[in-house]
Amino acid sequence: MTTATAVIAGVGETAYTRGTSQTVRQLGIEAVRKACDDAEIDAESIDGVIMVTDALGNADYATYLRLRDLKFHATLGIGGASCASAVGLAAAAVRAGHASRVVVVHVSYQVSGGRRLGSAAANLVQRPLHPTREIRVNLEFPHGMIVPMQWYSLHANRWLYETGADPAGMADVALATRAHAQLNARAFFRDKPLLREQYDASPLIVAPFRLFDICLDSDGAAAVLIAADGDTTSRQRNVRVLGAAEGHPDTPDDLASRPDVTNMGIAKAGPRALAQADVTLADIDVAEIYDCFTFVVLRQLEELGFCARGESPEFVKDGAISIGGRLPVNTHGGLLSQAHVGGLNHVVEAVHQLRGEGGDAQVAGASVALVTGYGDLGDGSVLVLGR
Amino acid sequence: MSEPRPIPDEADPLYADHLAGLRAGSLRAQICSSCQHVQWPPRELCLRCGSSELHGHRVENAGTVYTFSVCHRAFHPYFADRIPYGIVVVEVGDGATDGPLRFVGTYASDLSSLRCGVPVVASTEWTDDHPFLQWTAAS
Repeated sequence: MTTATAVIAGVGETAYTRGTSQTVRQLGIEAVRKACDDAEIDAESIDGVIMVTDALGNADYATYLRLRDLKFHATLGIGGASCASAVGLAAAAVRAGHASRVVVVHVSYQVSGGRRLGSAAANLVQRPLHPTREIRVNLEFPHGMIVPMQWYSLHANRWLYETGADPAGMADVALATRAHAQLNARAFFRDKPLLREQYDASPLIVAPFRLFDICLDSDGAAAVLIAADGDTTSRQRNVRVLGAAEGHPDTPDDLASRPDVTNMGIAKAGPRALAQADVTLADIDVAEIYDCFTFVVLRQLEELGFCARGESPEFVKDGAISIGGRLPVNTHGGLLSQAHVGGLNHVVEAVHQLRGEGGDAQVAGASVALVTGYGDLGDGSVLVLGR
Repeated sequence: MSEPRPIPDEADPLYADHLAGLRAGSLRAQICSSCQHVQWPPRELCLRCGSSELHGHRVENAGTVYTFSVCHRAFHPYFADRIPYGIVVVEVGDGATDGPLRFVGTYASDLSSLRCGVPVVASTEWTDDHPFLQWTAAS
């Protein structure tokens, strides 16, 4: 067993688009090759791969990258919590000496693959598989509860009722992160600033969520290469994986019936990751928070402990989560305004920030970053990264 | 002709008792004959003691809205002409359980009355000869 520090040695991203002529394989391989170029290693030397969707399998990567010897692989299944969790798993594999260069890859094909917000697919069999499918089929689909945002609206309405929280906090998240997207070359909504009046005028999709409370669908891929510190030549730009954890909600297999519908896995993951990293919330310079919905950002800030339950709308007001504010959030625009890459783009952005390569979006002096993941019925994952 | 309403899987033995209850106008959950734990949704094992000795169990057909969802967009063609529509999670009290029992259903009353804490009563809605659980605001 090695006691090596695990680092993120390279990151790679394809263009983030809505519509592409590339195939899923082409996108995934491109992202991995870019991460290898960034880390200054040969792709053939990768010996571990962690996939966070089932779009591609380990054999696809091993074949197309001509891997010399794949020693470790995994495919994670906690929705949008998978990416942050995968980086933690890759770091653990490297520290254990199980593999030496592990790439985490996410490919999104939501637009070209035909799964979009507005698609009223008659064939529910084609729906993405969620946990405990028979509960969905028998108890939810018949009542028109079809898509995840409806589960999350159950959470939101109970949270609003229990805490009296101001739903306008959602608007502040949407506006702040759209402003950050103006500074990001890869952001889909760069050159599309969002005004409060446009937000307020946007249609309700599932109350209380409006159009601009909901993340993008995208085509594109990202890859993050984890290695042992000292293994690659570009040590100057290595980012250390200081802490990583995941947590699951109670009851794990169902949201609508759980005793506390506001329960979230991140409440368990946050303290674990911070303790591993030996940092406190006050040490966090920048936070890339999984943002499938503006509401989910608000609740993660609360469950992480940045503010009390119900107080996130106050916490995010008045520029607090903008670059230059008390806690810059989603400096790349996030899933809401950059692209939906399963949150692996949040890891990439955190790496850019810590390397001092954030460009116009650089948070001055960023040395500790927090990245979160949120998935399915409320699974949560947390990464703490540092220089 | 528009798409029919999505229906439960009538071949799934886990849900047979509950559906039979809806057909007869009663609300049924699942009880463990080993430890008397009452649970919903139905599962293959008792979540308290692990036994597979599970049977149907009638519960009160009244409760309060614990939370809800109001949908303004159709995610299935059947609902395209029915938006906005309300879905409720109703908490049903039952002395045999050691935790809240919650049931998902359609909200049949006016959406302007829908909020957490509203008392509601269960009934069966028939669509295309299939029974569906619906909840109506108690007066």
